[in-house]
Amino acid sequence: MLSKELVAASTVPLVLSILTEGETYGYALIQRVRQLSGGRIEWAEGMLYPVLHWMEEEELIESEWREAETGRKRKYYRQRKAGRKALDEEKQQWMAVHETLTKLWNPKPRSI
Amino acid sequence: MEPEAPFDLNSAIQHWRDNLAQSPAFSGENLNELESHLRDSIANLQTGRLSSEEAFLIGVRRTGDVGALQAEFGKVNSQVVWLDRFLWLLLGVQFWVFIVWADGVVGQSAVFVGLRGLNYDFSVHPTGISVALAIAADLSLFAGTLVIGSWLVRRQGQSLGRRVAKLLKRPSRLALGFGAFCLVWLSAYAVIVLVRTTLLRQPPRIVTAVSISDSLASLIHIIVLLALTLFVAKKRLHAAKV
Repeated sequence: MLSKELVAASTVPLVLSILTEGETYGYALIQRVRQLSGGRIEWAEGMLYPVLHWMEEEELIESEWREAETGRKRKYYRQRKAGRKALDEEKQQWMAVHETLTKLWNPKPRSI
Repeated sequence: MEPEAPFDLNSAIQHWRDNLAQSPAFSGENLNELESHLRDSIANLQTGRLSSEEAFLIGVRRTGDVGALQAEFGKVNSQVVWLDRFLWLLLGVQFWVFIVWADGVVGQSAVFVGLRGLNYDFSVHPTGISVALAIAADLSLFAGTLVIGSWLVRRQGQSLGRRVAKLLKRPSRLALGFGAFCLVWLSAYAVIVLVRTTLLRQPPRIVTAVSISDSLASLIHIIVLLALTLFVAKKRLHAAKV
């Protein structure tokens, strides 16, 4: 399980990355993260929505209510131009952390 | 043992939603989205072997604790949360004004009765206009308080009747407080009408002067308070729409 701080820091890049695959709605976003992370990244589900609304205010994403195949209405989210740019920056930062840590831990990760 | 009532998923979801709707942290749209999420979650859980009741309980649990959700949504909707608090504060101030005013009625009556006891000469001009203005202002304050109060209850798209029925079933401090407020308001209003009609019939000079200045002061006071309350209510309504 991820720490609270890491979950908070990684939510925006995760959402932006999933939205590059195409538009989707909140519940599917959460399911996708759970599936991709093998259950290691667990969000308190309802907490995602305030983040999505904040991202919408920042014009990183946009949303639209539409009727789904089930007949119920769902709010679909889409990435915006600024979102793609923000994701590129996030990518560079996360890769910098990742590469540094990988260099330190490889080839032989020290066991405790 | 009595058989348990069958579980009604829709009413359970409605109940859960009503519970969230009591907080100004959630806009109507937020609630729609959370409900949509919960329904998706339940539908998914039911594809396993869970009953609708079990799926509901797990879905609610996964969606999140009410207090935590309220805190997070409140950050995004902070303007609405604060306007709501301010509106309640203003209603509280109106309540306070009313107490002070009722207190004044008792004082005026005491002065009037006392002067009569001293055989004071009651033979001066009537105070018709100012008293009528003050009464109109008092009435509009009361009506405004009622309207804003009922609007606060109806926000988040809840019907007034259902909310009132719910409050009566589980009498909260709000319902009791507001009921008592209206009751005291009305009875005290009856007292002041009685006192003022007596004043109009026999207006002594001193009582007239005191009454006019008092009425005008409270008139200005009430108008300012009402204007401020309406301004905040309008802002709050606008914020809720956005």
